Amino acid sequence: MSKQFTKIYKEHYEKVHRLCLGYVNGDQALAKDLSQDVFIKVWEHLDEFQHKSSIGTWIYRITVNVCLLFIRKNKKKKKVDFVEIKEEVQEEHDNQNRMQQMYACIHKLKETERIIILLVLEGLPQKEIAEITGHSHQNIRVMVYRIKEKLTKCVSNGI
Amino acid sequence: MEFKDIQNIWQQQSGETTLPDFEPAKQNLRQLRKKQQISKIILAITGIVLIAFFFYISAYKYSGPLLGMSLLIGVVLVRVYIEIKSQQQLKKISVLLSLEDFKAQLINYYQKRKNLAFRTIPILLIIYNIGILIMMYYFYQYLSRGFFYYIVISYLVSFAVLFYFIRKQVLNELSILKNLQES
Repeated sequence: MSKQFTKIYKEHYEKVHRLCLGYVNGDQALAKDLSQDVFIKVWEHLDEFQHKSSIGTWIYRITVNVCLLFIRKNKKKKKVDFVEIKEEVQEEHDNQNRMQQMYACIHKLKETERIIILLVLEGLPQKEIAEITGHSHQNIRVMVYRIKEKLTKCVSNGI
Repeated sequence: MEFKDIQNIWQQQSGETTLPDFEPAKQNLRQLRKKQQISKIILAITGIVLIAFFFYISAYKYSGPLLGMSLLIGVVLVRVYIEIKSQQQLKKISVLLSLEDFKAQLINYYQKRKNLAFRTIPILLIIYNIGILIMMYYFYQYLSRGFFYYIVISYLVSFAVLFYFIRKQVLNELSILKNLQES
């Protein structure tokens, strides 16, 4: 199991970390803790993986649940003042600031919306997102459309 | 800007992430489990010692202080039991569920915590204070005035501190519940 886990850890760490980073408003330290929590769960439950879905989907399912659970541990999330970021973005249009603006916009969404859009941003097909979240495919389609609009509006106009 | 552009920026995030060593996390988990086992053993031993001490000093012969002490110890034990059970319930929620099922279980858990906070805990606090009042009566009779007032003031301060932390925890959990229900 150890070898199998190490392989999974190496292959999936980056995308788990990226999703966690988006969830915690770009806070690197929190994202690292959260990713570690995810892989502890993966390690604990690996023998329960039943190959009904891909290992990637299974890991994402754990990741989104650990993210949701994380709100109880960390209510004092880093709050980023959107106006300040907006001003910064206007001053220097580099990628880092744009990412921060995206994090701030993602952070403005509700918990479930945030998780769904992070999965969309990662490029997961809607069918897989439906499988991870437990919503119907139809429902996800509507939700994704609505959240995409919200995020695009926020990133483009700051609202 | 269109959503595709946002997605491109997102996916172009460089792979700067260095892979942290997972071995320390495993060791921490093992240590945490060991500590949890030790805590359970300590709690069990404390319970046994308390009961043994109770019989050793023949406390059951004095009905007044017995009632007071029983209420105080009883409330503390019930509170500890409730917290342990509650922690176990939270740990039982499987992370392998779909997000919606997981969220539903979390909401259910926090609803139970809310009931605890607004029904069970106030009752326990009232019982605890009745126990204190009974004990105060005996302290007043058998202890010097100075020591009696010292006990009263210490109790009031510790109760205020305890109440502050309970309130803080309850407000935090209510906000988590609201957050989950709204999302």
